[in-house]
Order: sequence, then structure tokens, then C-alpha cells
Amino acid sequence: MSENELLRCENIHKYFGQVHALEGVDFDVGEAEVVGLVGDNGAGKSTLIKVVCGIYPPTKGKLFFKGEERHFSSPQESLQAGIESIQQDQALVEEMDIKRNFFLGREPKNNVGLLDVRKMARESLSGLMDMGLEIRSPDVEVNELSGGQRQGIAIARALHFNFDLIILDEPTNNLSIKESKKVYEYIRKLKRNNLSAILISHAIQEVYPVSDRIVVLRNGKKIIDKDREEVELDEVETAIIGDIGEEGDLEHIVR
Amino acid sequence: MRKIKDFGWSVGRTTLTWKALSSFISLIVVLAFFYWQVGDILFNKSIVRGSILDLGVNWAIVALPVAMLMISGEFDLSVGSVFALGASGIFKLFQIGLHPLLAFVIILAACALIGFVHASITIKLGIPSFITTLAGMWFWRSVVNAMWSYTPSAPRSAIEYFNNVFGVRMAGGWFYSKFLFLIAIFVILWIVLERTPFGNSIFAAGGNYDAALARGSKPDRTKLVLFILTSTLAGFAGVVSATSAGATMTNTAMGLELYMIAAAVIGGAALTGGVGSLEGAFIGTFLLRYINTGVIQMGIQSKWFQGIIGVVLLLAAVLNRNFRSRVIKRFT
Repeated sequence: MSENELLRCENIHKYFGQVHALEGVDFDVGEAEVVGLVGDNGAGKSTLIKVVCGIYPPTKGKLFFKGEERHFSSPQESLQAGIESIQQDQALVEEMDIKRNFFLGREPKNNVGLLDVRKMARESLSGLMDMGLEIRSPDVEVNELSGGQRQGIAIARALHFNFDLIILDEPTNNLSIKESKKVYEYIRKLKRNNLSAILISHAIQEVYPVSDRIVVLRNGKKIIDKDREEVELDEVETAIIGDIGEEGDLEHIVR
Repeated sequence: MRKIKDFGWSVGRTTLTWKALSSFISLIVVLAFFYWQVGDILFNKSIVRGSILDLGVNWAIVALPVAMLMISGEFDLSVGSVFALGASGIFKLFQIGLHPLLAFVIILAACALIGFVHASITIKLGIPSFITTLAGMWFWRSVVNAMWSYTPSAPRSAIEYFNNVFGVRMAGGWFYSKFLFLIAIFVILWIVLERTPFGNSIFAAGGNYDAALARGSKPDRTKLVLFILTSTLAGFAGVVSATSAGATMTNTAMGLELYMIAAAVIGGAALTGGVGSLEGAFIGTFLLRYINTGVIQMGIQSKWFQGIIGVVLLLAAVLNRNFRSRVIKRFT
């Protein structure tokens, strides 16, 4: 675990009506730390992330970011505090070119108040080059790019705007092995720039290669929180799906 | 030498990636065809001023905001009725004796309010704008019909007041002064769409609403502004039309909404939003005008106008779908 703490969630509970989605979860992320947050569908990982991003207020529990207690009530507030969340379908506008995507919502203006298109082109291109992305021009539309390149742009953008914590949802889903490796490189680059990341996935294989620490949720509870070196893949996989023989008799159901 | 080459490359690239390139090519083809069939359509002063530019300006003032609204992912089917409301409404206010300028301000404010109502219902209640503005199309047309039980008329002096602004023959009779207003509107809207953060939010709202929201680009506010802009300019076009022609009818501009959508689509806009350009909508509008005029000049019965527009619309849609991405892949 990292020396300095960036994000700390204490005893987070979240109810949706009668459903107890999070049952007292403690979760933290250190500076320059990459945490893999894994769990099956419905385990509570996206609920936890939505609490962190200010989409849901927690029913009970405290949230600290950069040492201060926070009560984010909208994604904009967490964004301003320095938390960038990249959801799969919400990262980029396909029909827009790279530079316009890069600065969407934070467009720079020149001295007559119009879009500073040159600055947008220059800075987005340098952001992509820092990331090692090979793209011809910042005028290329996103729908011409591969999935890995798109993740790279979203990560480069988070780097450029100096976010402290970036949350990536299924970062290598639907990517080829070669492209996944690229995305892992981008994530390592984040770390070298002293930024932290949370990688969400339902599969341990997806986040294991780059995570410093693995956290597993099941049925709204944290059941594993270990440094990567101490984690056995089999152990995590069993933890994610639970012991089938114990909980539900699968053979019985099949019959 | 290197610089010249770079410059040439950059000009070539800008041309090839120009969003309205395919509609521009369509326009050239249509013009060439009519020039070959009836040369007059390009060089006859009274045809250009009357059939092409007079009606074309009224249409284009509406087509430009409609295209922006479509880029943001919304429709406005009420523009024909709001156009008629602007035309008939200002005659009504002239008739009851309001000062022409006051009448003008009231009409534009009323049309802005109509846009606000359409936007609020669409955004707050989550009703698709196709439905909201379809309801608006019928409702506002009824208001127009209720306003006049006979052909709208107005005192000559009030009409002249605006005719002296919009209907002055210029450049030796090639166009009316309202054409200059259109050019000014085009330039302003182009800058807004292509060179402001607000313009960026228009493309984002239609391209990926959730992404726009997540990036803090306020897509709902963007759509609200565009609905208001569209209704206001539709009413303005109605005023321009009625005062420069000196007459209007309660059933004027019926079906205009679909020509506007056709103009935007011919100009490269997608029904799903996120794509399109003002140059394209501009070219699309005048393409429709040229086809209409050309068909009449060729002596084909004018009932074929709509049939030919249908064919051109389809060809343009096919061209837009395949042309641009291929050109870009190949040459950039």
C-alpha cells in the first residue's frame, strides 16, 4: 500500500429501498496507486464508485479525499475536486474530432472569446504524444480510432487536466491482447505521473497485470483487500463467484 | 517551395474533409444539368432574384437553425406553422395599429416563447421533440387560422416600413436586401457552431448525450437555446417573407418543416444527431430551390418537383453515408 492516502471510504452503507447494496465497505486508494476493484454483477462495485463520484449519496459512512471529508452531490463536484470517472459509453463523442473531445466542457478561449482551436490542436496532440499514442492528427474523428486508442485519449485527457484519481470502467473490455497491453502502458504512465487509478472489472484477469492492490466485493461486502503480490488468482476467482456448492446447489437447479 | 507544398496539402486536406463537400458536388451537378437543359436558370436576373433567392432566403433563415437543432439531436416540425404565425401575426399587429418596430419585437418574443415551451416539454417531461413539435405544428397553425378568417392584410405603410429594409433590390437587381441579412445570420451562426464552446456542446449533445453531461458541457441548456433560436428565426423568416412580398396567407409555409429537414440531410446532417454543417444546410436549401425552379423552367409539370426532391434526398443520404468517410480514409 502507498504511503500517502488519497481517497478513503469509511464504513459505507447504501440502501436502495429494502436492498442493502453496500454493507459497511471500507475502501481506500493511495497516491500513485492503482487499485483493481473486482466483483460479479451486482456485487456493489459500481454502487461504490457512484458514491465516490457523487452520483449516489451514501446512506451511512464517510468519504475523505485528499485528507478532507467530502459530500459530493453531483459528478461535477467530484470532477472539480479531481476525480475523473471514465465510463465505457460516456468517455468520448464519436462524431467529434480528438481535439474537440479532449477539451469538451473545458474549451479554451482566445482573446476575442472564440474557441482557441490552435491551442486545442497543439495541446491535445502533445498529450497524445506524451502517452505514446500514434495518431496522425488531432483533427481525426474518434469513430476512426480503435478501442485502445480511445482509452488512451481518455487517459491522456485526465492526465492533461491534472486529475488526482481516475476511475476506469472495464478498461480493456473488447480489446485485443495487443491493445490491452497498450492500455496497461497508459495506466502505468498515469502512475509514473503520481496519479492514482481505480480499475473496475468483473474479471480479475483484466486488472491483475497493472493493479498494485486487488479489492474484491461480493454481495455488498469487501471480502478481499490484498497487495497484488499476495494474491492468488484462484483465490480471487473463487471469492468473486462464491463457493457454489455451499450457497446454491447448482446440480440441483440444473435438474 | 516546401511551404507552397505544405499550403497546397493543407488546402487539399481542408477541402476533402469539408463536411459539406458532397452536398456541394450535388449542387454543381444539379446546376450543370439545368444549365445544359435551360441555361436561363443561372443567368436570368429575374429568375435568380425571384425564384431562387427570394424564396431561398426565407427558407434558408429557417434551415440554418433547424440544422443546428438536428446536430444537437432534436427536431422541430413546427417551423412551418411558426413561420406562418410570424407572417400572419405581424400583419395582425400592423392592422391593430402598433408601431411596426414594436410589432416586430412582440412577434419575435412570442416566437421565442414558443421555442421555450417546445424545449421545456421536450427536456423536462422527456417527450421526444418529434412529438412535441408535431403537436406544435398543428397547434400554432390553428392559432394562425383563428387569427384570420380571411386573407391576412395590413396597412401599406407598415408593410413598406419593413419592405424598405428587407425588400430593396440590390446589385443591379440580382437580389433583395434580405439576402444580406441571411449572409449575416449565416456568418454569426457559423462562428457560433464551429468556433465557440457552445458550438462544441451542440455537436456533443447530439453525438453522445451522456458524454456531454459527464464532461459538464450542459446538453439540456444547449438544446433549450437552440429550440428558442429555431422558433425565433422561423418567425423572423415569416416576417421577412410577408413584408418583402407585401402579402401572406394563413396556409403559407405548409410542409416547410420537411423541406428544412431535407435541406439539412442533403447538407450532411444525420437524423441521429452529432453530424452536420451550416454550409451544408445552406447549400441544401438552394439546391431545393434550384431543383424547383429548374423543373418548372424545363417545362416538366411542377407536380414532379416533389418526386425529384425525393430522389435527390435519397441520393444525398447515400452519398453522405459513404462518401466522406471513404474520402477521409483514402486521402488524409
